[in-house]
Amino acid sequence: MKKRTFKFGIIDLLIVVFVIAALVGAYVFLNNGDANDKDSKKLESVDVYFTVELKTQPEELKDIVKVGDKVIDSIKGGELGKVVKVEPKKATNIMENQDEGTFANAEYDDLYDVYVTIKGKPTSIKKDIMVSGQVIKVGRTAYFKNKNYAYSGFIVEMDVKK
Amino acid sequence: MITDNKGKVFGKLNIIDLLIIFIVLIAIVSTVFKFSFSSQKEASVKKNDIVECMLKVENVRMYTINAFDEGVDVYDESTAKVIGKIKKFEYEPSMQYLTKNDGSVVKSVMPERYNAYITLECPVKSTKEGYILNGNNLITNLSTLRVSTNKVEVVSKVINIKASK
Repeated sequence: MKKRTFKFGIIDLLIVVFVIAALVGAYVFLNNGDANDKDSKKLESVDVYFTVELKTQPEELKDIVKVGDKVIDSIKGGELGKVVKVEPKKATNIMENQDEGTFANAEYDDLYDVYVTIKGKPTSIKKDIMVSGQVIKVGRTAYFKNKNYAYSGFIVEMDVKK
Repeated sequence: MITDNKGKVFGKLNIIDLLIIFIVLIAIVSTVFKFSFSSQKEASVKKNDIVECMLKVENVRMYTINAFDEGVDVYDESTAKVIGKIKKFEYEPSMQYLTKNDGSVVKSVMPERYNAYITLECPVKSTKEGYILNGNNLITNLSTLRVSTNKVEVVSKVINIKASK
């Protein structure tokens, strides 16, 4: 049988370099914020508490999230934490009073803003405090779900506690 | 002919090989251009300075106000670099214009909304075009900056830059 010779040209080398670079890039991206050995003990000793605002929920859905629910990261699928507090409040909207020239908060009769506080384990507490794959900061959007619901909302409070 | 009967350029390279070479050349030229431009910016730098930079964050709720602390590091989100520490933090009720039924325009307080004023002490490099923050972001008055601490992230506007005392 004729022996096949393997030729490795410049183009093949370029493709190999690109593939290695892509793999390294993917590893760095997916592991962004992962702690090294020195930080892991610090991460184990603290919990992150963050409150997510679910805006204008209808009456029938305001109680769907329950204390004790375990929730996962909707984006990357990792464990996000456990719900420790749920506080529904009547939803409001800023309206213009064009007679008096003022702004006022108007309350909806049948819509609620639900504030869900989640306790999670941080995966990084350097520049960004991260839980699972999500950056936890006031002003950012958090995405969470379990088998009964999937939600996203603004983070309105956060704290790191021992 | 430039291509032979197998479609290869000069009998050696096919279209996929050509595309790969083209992409690599684009990447190299872009990298060289970017670093050349950075070095030109460096050449026009006059001196290193410490400035007080005031950022205005408009129309936010008390949740955002409560998340800020004096003395913490502030990051530029576009470069992920520390640009300074919060020297002073103040806030006031936010006011917006609205048109009344009689056609007049008045300014009124927005309920539960505030404007925050964050004073940072920033090491910068002064240039004739503006100030270069840590991380090579060039700012002037009225620049928009997305900034964060480790607790909060906001969009802000630079409203005053002055030499630090």
